[in-house]
Amino acid sequence: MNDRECAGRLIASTTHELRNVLAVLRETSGLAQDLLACGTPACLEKLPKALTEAGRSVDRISALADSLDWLAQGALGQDETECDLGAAAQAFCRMMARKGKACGITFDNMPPASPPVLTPMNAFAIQLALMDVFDVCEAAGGGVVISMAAGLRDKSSGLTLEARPQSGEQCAALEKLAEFPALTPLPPRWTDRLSLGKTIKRRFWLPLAAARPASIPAESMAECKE
Amino acid sequence: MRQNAIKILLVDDETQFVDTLAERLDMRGFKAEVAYNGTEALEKVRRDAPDVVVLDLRMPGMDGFEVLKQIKKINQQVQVIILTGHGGDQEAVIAGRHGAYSFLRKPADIDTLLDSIRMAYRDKVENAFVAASMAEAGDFASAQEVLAEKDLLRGE
Repeated sequence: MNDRECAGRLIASTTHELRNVLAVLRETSGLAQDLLACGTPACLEKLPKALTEAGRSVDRISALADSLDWLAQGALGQDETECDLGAAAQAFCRMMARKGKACGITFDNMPPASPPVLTPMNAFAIQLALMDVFDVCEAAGGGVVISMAAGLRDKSSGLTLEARPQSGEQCAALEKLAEFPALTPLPPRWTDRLSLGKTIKRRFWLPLAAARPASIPAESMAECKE
Repeated sequence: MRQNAIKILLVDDETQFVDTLAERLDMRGFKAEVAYNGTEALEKVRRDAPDVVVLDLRMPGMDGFEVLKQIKKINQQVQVIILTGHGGDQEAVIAGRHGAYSFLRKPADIDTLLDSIRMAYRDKVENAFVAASMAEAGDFASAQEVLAEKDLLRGE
């Protein structure tokens, strides 16, 4: 996958999400107008809820705009040498949320690490690395929930990826992630080990400190139904 | 046209959107049922066919095109309006080919949507009248074609 394709996919998913959230905003703000025009006590009682929902939509749109800004900065600042890994990963999760939903891939949103984990990588290169992980899950049919946390291992920056099946049962995406050369399997947390040996959560380390990790061949990718 | 005579089904996985839209339609005298995925929508179409379905295209599980095809298999007279945040011109053409009545992009103005719903319902009723008069005249084949929304003039 080249940079242009990666950017196109990120923008397509974000645009779709933006349109959906704008539709929610249009309806909730429209409902607020309708309730005001109605004017009865019963209508006015519903007004705060409609306005709260409208505000929530504005927050979602703002977060998507921030993510697009990340993408733009990464694409423009090819020579920049440091990037906040947690923020870059969060931007990816937000931008790919809509496409992920259609393909059965859910991202658990995480707050950026504090203090930030800086990596000597361009923000766009991080998006490329995460897109490869996304493609592995998509090719395996999805059905997976992924959470990410920025951190350091052996003084090198990267992301800890935690993957679990959406339905509570084993899924092919977990196995494919385990075989993906860019990821290093990590031992389960001690809290997960206590769950009577039925741990189906898998943890991986994605090093993001230098060149782009090895990618899987494009021809093995399954396209999500449009 | 009595507004509450039109049976509407809204299908979208964005629950906040679809619930709010149903509430706004209700305030305008239109009763709308909601379904949050394709499977639920098809169950509702089978149980009590709506006049007009407002359908999202990209949903988890069964996507909108598949739902559209299934609805038309179950009942050809159900009018389907696509309302999506995803589609481009190509999707609009495909939707039309599968029998969608119209194609709207999110965010759509509620009055635009209501105009489309009214027109879809009006066409459905007109088709039923035309088909009935053809059947009365003994032309059952043409009556069936009208109900199947085949354009007799274009020979489609």
